[in-house]
Amino acid sequence: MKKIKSAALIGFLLLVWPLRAEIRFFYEFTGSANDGAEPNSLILSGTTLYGMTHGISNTGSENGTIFKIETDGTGFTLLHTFGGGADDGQWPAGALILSGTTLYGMTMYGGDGNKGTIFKINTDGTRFTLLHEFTGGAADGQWPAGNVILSGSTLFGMTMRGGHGGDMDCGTIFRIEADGSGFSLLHKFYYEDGAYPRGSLIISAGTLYGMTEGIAMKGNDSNCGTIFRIQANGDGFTLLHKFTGGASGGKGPFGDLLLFDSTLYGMTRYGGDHDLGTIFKMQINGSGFALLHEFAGGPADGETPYGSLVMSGSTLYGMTSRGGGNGLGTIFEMQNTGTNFAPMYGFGGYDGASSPQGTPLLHNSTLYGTVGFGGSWGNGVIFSLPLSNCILDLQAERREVRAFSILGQYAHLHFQVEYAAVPVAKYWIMRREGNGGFFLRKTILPRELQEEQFQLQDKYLDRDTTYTYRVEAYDTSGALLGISMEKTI
Amino acid sequence: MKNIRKALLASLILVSSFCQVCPGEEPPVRRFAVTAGANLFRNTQASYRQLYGQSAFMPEIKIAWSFYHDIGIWGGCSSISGNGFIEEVNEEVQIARFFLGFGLGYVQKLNASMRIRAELGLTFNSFKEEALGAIRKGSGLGWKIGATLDYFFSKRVFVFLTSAFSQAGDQAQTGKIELGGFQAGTGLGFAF
Repeated sequence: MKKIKSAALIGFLLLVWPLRAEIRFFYEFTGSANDGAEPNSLILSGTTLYGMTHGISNTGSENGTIFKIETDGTGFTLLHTFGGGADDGQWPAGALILSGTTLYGMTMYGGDGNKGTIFKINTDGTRFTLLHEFTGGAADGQWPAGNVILSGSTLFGMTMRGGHGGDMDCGTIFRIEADGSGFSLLHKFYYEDGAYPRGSLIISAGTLYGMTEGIAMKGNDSNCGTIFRIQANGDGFTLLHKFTGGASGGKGPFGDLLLFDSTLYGMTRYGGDHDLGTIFKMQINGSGFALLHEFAGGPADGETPYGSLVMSGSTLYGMTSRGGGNGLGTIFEMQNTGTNFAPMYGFGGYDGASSPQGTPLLHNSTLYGTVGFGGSWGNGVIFSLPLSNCILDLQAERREVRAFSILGQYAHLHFQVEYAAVPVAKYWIMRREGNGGFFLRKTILPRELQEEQFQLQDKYLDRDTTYTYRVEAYDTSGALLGISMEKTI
Repeated sequence: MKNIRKALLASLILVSSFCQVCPGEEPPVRRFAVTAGANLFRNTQASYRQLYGQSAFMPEIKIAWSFYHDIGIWGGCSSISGNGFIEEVNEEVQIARFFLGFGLGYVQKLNASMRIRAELGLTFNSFKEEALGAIRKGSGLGWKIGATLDYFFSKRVFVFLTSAFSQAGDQAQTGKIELGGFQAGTGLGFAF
């Protein structure tokens, strides 16, 4: 009987762990001055990923680096090595953001008072500039833990401390122009309106939304956290929700909110039935708070999420720092209704890569992310995880062609098979005119592809009609393997 | 150098001998003439030539009537067709064109067997292009000027060398298109 139970358990684990994903670890940090150690969240521009590390393990430095790398794993380039001290940042916080060819970010330490900085740097590594050096106290923030966001030419962000000084330093919300001018505090957290924001803000229609890790009660740090909103001009600060912890509430959010269709989604590190963290949703007006998932840990679930969620269609993706088959963290997916929660990958199987604390980056059916520990050098890795069995990248462009008196327009389509877990039997080029439905325009067989790429012209287009294209891949049984992003021209 | 001189001399003698076919006779006054010619037509617009070729064969029929001394009127029609290929879309394209013209003419006798004609008139150029999954018809009204050298080798029959330039345009999807051009050719005429 025991053997049967063991076999059933092994079978279950094989089915569940890993499920379908084929993760690829395409860069391992050596921890040297050439790359850094403990990478955090990534951003993507074209095919280039930008990120930061917290330190350089070989020298014991906790200054950190800024780097870039292509999504295929090539071209790792160190853009900046933080020096700390009065003239540079130290211990980068959150993720970078990109505007044009300029990256903006924050460090938790460094600057004149060693209380954190806001910086900018060109994507080629030139012109590193400190935009602001936090000084703390009543008039400034201190120790930013998340990243800035950009709205127009204004950066918004939060600091974990500052705003009052002393024991009442509960953190701030600030704004600053992208050129470094006009720094001002929009809000100083104090007592019951939240304390110690760890994540970043999001903005929608002139309103900022964010979370704090705790609520600083006098003499009683209940520390369950809040969700708030505030106008971009600093008016109208409103607490939308106070986390209660326990079985029916979350506790201690570290990451950011995700806004989709007037619903906010987020995660807490603790709370829920098992006090191992939750996934929640809430309307932007503060109503309808509900726990979508309560992490239970173990091989079929995660626990203690630090980062944020990303969404594709109606599916939420995220990472937990613990749980999973090896107990060293997971990548998971779940419908935004709270159903179909499933771990997609359990960390720990590859050279001990473990405990992801950032947010995955979703692009073209692939999740990119970092793990701060593990890899061959023990200093973290960058990974990519395809979300479907076939990932197709489609580019579509409307082109003009001239005869003598006739001007024709056609669609120039180029698609590339970036990943195929199983053999593809056919590709369907689908087209939609205006708001109509998709219909099959052309069937492409795999043998017609050259180096996994195919180009074709769809002739001829009506110049007053919009056309949307997508590519679908099917296997020999007719099962859909993957769909490209839709491109409208 | 000597060879060139010999060739020039031989040419001069040959031309002179043609001019002496009917020595001493004035060509009879013929009020009507009908001609059939074969021309090469070169469209003014470079993009047209790039698509359909630098020149095209252009058959032409003309009639003329002298109503007062050396002055008369003329009318004629001609056509060309062309095929092209657009590599960008890997497609063949074709065009058919028709030219109508009429106007005033002036005839100047050079000698007993040669005369020169100058013509000025209006031209109506139409086309039908089939390309890029569409058919487009268009036309344009313009002007035409030309000159012809006739050589009578009998009392009624003559050969001629001719050249003309026309200009006419139309507005198309591709912008303003030029339908005129330069033409040069030869042919046979009958006067009565």
